[in-house]
Amino acid sequence: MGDRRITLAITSDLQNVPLIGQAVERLCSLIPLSDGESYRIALCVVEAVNNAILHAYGNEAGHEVEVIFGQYPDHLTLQICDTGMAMDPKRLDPRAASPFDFDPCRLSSIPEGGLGLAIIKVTMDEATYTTCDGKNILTLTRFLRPCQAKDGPLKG
Amino acid sequence: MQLEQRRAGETLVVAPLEDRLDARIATDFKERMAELIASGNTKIVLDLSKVEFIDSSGLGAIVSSLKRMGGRGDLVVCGLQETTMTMFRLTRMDRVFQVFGSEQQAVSALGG
Repeated sequence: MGDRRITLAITSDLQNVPLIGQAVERLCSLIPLSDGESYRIALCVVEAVNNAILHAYGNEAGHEVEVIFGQYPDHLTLQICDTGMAMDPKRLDPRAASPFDFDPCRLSSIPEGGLGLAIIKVTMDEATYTTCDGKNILTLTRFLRPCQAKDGPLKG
Repeated sequence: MQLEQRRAGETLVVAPLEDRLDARIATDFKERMAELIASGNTKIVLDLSKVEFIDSSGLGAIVSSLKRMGGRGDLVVCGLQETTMTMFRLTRMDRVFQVFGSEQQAVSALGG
């Protein structure tokens, strides 16, 4: 009892990404997570969906990106699925160099790109990436504190 | 994208009139900022008071604008909402950009 999943799907057009972001933020707020936490989780999903569209599908229209929102008794998962080019899962290794380790006084060291995965890594409790039968799945996990891990319905 | 521009002495205030500065419009924003910098503006206040959401592409476009100034000018930020301030802190860009509460404070800091 207590496992709930909602699947959201868009076609691979950046214009559709705000829809996913806003839906995820609202679902998080119903758990309920705070506005700040809901915003940060939605940001991670937006970054992941952007990556799927821009990198997995090369910004080519007409493909599907699926986001599966799962609420469990003690954690929340968000699975971002695509069938495009797979990412190297080593990029999620927590030991990998972080683009945030830059010198703010040295202009050339300040990153302009590659921030999406780094945002996900510092925000979510876990991030894993698998590819199976041509489907890439990025799974983001956020553990719920006892006061958030209620077994009741989403708050409307 | 809609980008409002206004003069405050030698300073140019640039305000995106969009609620999201994200991957959809980041390239356009970067190009518009590049044009403004190329046309000789060396003191720029970026007013983000209308922007409720910035993703890494939008932030990258802001960083690109700072780099394009090449240390020959100043680009400061004002009007950040709590959500967009989160993005600056999360990515440690609050160490890079001077952030002001109001446009007036930002313009004063650049010498008007």
